[in-house]
Amino acid sequence: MVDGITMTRRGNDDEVAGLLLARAAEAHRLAAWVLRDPVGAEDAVQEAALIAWNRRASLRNAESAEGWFNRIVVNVCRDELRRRARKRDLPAFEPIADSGSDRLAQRDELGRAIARLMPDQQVVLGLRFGRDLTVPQIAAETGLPEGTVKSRLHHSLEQLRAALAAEHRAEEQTR
Amino acid sequence: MKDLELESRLQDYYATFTPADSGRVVAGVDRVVAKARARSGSRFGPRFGALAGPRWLRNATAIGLVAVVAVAVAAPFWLHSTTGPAPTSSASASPTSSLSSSMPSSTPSALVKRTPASGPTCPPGPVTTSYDAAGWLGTRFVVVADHQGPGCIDLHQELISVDPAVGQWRTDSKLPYPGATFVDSTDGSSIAMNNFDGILIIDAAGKQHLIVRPTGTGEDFGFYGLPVLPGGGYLVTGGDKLYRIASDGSGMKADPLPSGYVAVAPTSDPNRFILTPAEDANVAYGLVGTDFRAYLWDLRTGNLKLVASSVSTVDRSPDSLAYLSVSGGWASLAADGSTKPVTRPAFYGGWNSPDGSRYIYVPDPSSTAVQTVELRETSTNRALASIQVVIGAVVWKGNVATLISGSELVILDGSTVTRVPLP
Repeated sequence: MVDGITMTRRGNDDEVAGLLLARAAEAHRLAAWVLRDPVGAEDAVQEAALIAWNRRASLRNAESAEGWFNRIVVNVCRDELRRRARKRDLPAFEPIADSGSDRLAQRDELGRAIARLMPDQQVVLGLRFGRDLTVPQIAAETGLPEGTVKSRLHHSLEQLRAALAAEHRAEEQTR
Repeated sequence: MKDLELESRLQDYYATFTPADSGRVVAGVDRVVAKARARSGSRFGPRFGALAGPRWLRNATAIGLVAVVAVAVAAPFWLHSTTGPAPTSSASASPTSSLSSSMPSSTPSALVKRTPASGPTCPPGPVTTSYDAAGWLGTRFVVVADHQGPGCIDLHQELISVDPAVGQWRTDSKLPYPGATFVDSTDGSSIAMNNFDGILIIDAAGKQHLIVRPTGTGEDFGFYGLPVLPGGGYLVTGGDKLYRIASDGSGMKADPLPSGYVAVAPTSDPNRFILTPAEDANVAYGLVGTDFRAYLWDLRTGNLKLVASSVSTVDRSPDSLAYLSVSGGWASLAADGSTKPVTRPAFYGGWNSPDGSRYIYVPDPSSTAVQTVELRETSTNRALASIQVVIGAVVWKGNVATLISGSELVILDGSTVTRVPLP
């Protein structure tokens, strides 16, 4: 539910425009978690806003407005991850000022492992660990069955563990 | 690594990507909406609405329009020169012909030649190598060596192989960049991998063949898995046609399926397959993560029969058409389409042999520490061999299990355990 926004009739342009502006900052956070790239997330939010505007007639009531726009944002991000996967175009990992080198290395290691996951797996990880959503909430946000969300999370974590273990083995071999 | 430790690391990691409230984002959305509203009265507004988006989107749209025109002009020449005659409908192929005998000559080949692209330019620094078990090519076992540089995902990937009886590793070939990092499957004489560009088959001689992933319901074709067909070759699951890839990578055969159904799994009968209605699988990974209705379909007769209304996994069976994971346990699918409950050990992804007669028992599947795992006989649950390993992907050739543990390749063949040091 979006505060202060009431859909009095389908496709009310002022209300949809208001919704998009009110949701922009949160949509940006959502996109940044999924893409792991705050700069790329800005473009994603703009694209999502344009799609939402063009499809505003499909918004039936205020109760579903937040989820409706979030779902569009997630879909745009998923498509962007797929584009990146094809190009192997990785987000720029911004250094953290207060991080020690070990922590930075661990973060890069995790980033590489996540980037190797399927785009759809990256989406659920971003929603789970970035936005801190539960499985039912992720299901609602993505339109997926809960079982699918659980499965993707399970397989994602399994693959991350395997990838991190492989990196550790490789490091030990080079020592 | 335990679940909690990994999850804690993930939470820390994602927290670093939390942007502050950005006025620029709000202004950007405001601008997009304002432009879209301004055009809403325009005759061509909706059609060209995307051109008002972010700069990269405008550029991409413009490039896309040029590309469409260019492809439209060039496609006839390109198709003729690179792939021969355009693929024809597989409906003309004999539905009773066997895959291995008919595929090379009668099927629409979807092969493309490619030149492996070079990897990224990485900052100087130590290169680390990790190894992934890929599969058997005859007597040689193939491993993907993944060389990584600092700040790079893949410096390059190459295939190396060893004949365990001899023990000498050799480099076979480089993998195309970006590397083939997804589902691997092996029928014992070839290896199938999912590459970003398609499905990569490594034939018995080590030659690479790229099969263009079928288009249709999604780009996730094959990401559902490439199960091995009886007699060799691979099924592209999730397809709205029956896409079967020859073991030697020479082509992909496409047979029509009943309208509205997609392929889920092969059975032990080479002419019968498990299908599901497309709506049960119309989300990416739907077949992996969601229960679906299982139909048994006969390629020769076209008979289609609902055999289970809620299935999560189809597994190969040594004594029936297939095992179905249903609510409350497993069911064995008989040749007449009937099912009966069957007791099976709790298999863990890929740790059972292709025909289901053996499996790897792992006490703690989530552990990355050394633990005692066993090769067991399914029918008796008897341990045939026991080893101390760090469990990873298990690759089967018949009932021979192979895995990489630490710096060794470990092969379990009945009670015989062979260890080959990695290079």
